[in-house]
Amino acid sequence: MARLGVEAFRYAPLVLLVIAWELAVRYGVISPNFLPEFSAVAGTLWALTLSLELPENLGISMYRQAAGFSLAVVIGVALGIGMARVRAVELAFRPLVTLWYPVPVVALFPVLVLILKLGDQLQITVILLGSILPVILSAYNAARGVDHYLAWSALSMGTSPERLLWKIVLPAALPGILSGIRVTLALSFVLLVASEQLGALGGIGAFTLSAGENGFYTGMFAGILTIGLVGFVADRLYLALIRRLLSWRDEE
Amino acid sequence: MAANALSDRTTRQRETPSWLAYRAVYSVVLVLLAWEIASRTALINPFFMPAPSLLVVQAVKLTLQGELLPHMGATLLRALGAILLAIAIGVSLGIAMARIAAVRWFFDPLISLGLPTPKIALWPIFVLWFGFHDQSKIYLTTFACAFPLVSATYLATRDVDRYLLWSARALGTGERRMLWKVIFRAAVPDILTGIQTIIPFAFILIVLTEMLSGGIGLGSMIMLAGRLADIPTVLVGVIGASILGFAVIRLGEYLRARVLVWHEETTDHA
Amino acid sequence: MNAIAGSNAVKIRARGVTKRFAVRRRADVIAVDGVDLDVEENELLAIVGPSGCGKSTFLYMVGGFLEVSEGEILVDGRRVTGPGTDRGIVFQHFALFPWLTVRENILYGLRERKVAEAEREATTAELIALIGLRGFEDVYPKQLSGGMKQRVAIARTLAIDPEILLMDEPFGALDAQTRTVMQDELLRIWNQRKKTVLFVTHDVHEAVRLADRVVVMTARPGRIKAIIDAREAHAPDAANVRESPEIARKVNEIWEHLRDEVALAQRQEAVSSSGRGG
Repeated sequence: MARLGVEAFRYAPLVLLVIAWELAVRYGVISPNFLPEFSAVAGTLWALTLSLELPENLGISMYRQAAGFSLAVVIGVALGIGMARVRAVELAFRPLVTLWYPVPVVALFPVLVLILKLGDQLQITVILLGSILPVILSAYNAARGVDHYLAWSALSMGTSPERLLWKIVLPAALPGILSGIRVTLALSFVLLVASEQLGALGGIGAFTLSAGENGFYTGMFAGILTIGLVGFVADRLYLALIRRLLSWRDEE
Repeated sequence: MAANALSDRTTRQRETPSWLAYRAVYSVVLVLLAWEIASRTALINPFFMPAPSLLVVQAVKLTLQGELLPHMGATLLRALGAILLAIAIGVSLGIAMARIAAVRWFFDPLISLGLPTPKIALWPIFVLWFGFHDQSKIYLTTFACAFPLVSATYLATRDVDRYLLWSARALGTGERRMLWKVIFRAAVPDILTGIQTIIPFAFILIVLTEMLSGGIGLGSMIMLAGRLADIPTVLVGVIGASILGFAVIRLGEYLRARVLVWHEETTDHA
Repeated sequence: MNAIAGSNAVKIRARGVTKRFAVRRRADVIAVDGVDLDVEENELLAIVGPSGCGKSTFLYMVGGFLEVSEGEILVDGRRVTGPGTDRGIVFQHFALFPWLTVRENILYGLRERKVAEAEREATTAELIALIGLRGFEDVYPKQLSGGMKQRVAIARTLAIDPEILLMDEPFGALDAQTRTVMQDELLRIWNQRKKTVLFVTHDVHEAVRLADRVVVMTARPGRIKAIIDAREAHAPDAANVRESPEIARKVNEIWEHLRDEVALAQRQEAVSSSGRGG
């Protein structure tokens, strides 16, 4: 119960903010044309949920995010570790990564539309290309930074050089890789929403933008709240996962 | 965060010998050459991936027609404006959170809730509030960049080495002067890292909001060219944005080295 | 001494072992220069020398982690070409796998060698008892003190039952009290399971207490300056004697050899670091 009280005190500012929002609009401090009442937004959120309009768009978006993000993680980890361990891979990809680094990938959207046409593949590609670098870099740095005494210990206990990757390099590099993936997770949501605003067949970003353009402001706010909530929950779930996977880690 | 990785790399690169840097340039040239040949021989679709030489020609043409520099200028000014605003707000709020319990109580849940959410989703709201022009772009970018900066400043100021505080107090530094003379100074390296982190984000968000709204700016130029399937212009715009971002990142590194002459990380290499 | 040497087979034989490291834009650094050394079976041989003298480098070459630039190292008459399970190693900073528990760390080598489950469980339980860490089987290394970590590292190496134990300043990272306890521990374990031990340390007293013979190395480039028999300093029935006139005499004798080398090594270090700064 005491813990509950502490949590309530901690999150009280959020509640205060929502109350202030509601009252400010209701008593005319802020025009409802600029900010619809919170209760109205909540009502629309509920209605859009019942009509399945919001869940359907969210489902489309989550599929794109999941696909783009997973691809970025799998390809990024493989490339990063490959670059750290195999000289030829590093020589081949290092200049590409160097060139790719400063490029704002969303700005390539017009070209990608022409190549890929509208559809899930477009958003998935934007997410993949735009969010893969933090995974590559963290996997590369983490795999290069593996303490060679750990590798030597394993070799002297009979681990073959080929198995070293799985037995030592991967677990030793895991903390670095996982923190890089957290950046990629956050980026993947930004790229998802941005690419859906720039042009998409459905999806929560497109829904929100068109609601705003059509003056459906309660719907717009409902959509934005949904996106924010999903991004936040994804991050917290990921943190919980990291904590489980890295319970062995010495924080000192 | 992505820029964190970059700054990690660059500090390390500072220690790497010049032949390695030379080889990096060399291999970038090789990639460009491969791209040129692949495009010229239609190994890759020259419509979607026009040869680098054609992009240079296009860039020169656009510049001479006065159609590149004004866009770059607008994007640069907006990004710099957003970065400066974010620094002003983010650093002061971060310090206030670390020093004043009430401020910390109020903003902590907002920051921790807002940090991982995609702020670009708020674009329609900013358009509703501030219109389609400079303000909405700059304010959204400021808003988005403030979160990581508040967080970085807060952590840096909160975690100032207590032995440092004790020695300062023992040497007679008053509580009031402590904030400026010791705490802020000690937190500067981490705050600067936070600022360097937001630079690429600021450029991406400015270009993105320009793409969403039209008018002047590299993003708008890119979007318009895209609609006309003028891919060379799109790519010139993308490269222009990359160069701007890269230049400001480098500027940030230069300023950091100037500000942190006293810090261990700044060492002269013969 | 000669009689004993004659009765024991040579376990490790080094002939003309030299190690050069390439340094950019400078002459190669010679870390180890023409070392000839025979380590007898079941002998505990310590190598002492000033820091940077190449004693750890020599150990790593015996381990097969580094290649020799010149000369050769033979173990049981076979040339060393890489790491092997016949040579276990214990490092100064433990090198435990932090993602594995104490038990899993000790099990690691047994699993890699595909030892049957019943046997490897028995071995692990026995070793955990040997190092006195019962009750800590399922904790991660982060929860252990330095001394406990080093016990686990030793047990992990003993698990694969190597004939040779290579120890690289194994107690150098521990506080003085723990170090003394660990030295006793090592002697106890070594008396229980005879092994050939090659032990690198910068602590002369430690070398005299533990070793049958002590090799003194010169400052860089590392060469053998003297080999001193320490057995006569050990009381026949008292492995746990920490101080005795005999030990003190041996320590002094080794210090006579070492003093100039330490001074030289310090000058080398100062020169090389000022060169780096400029």
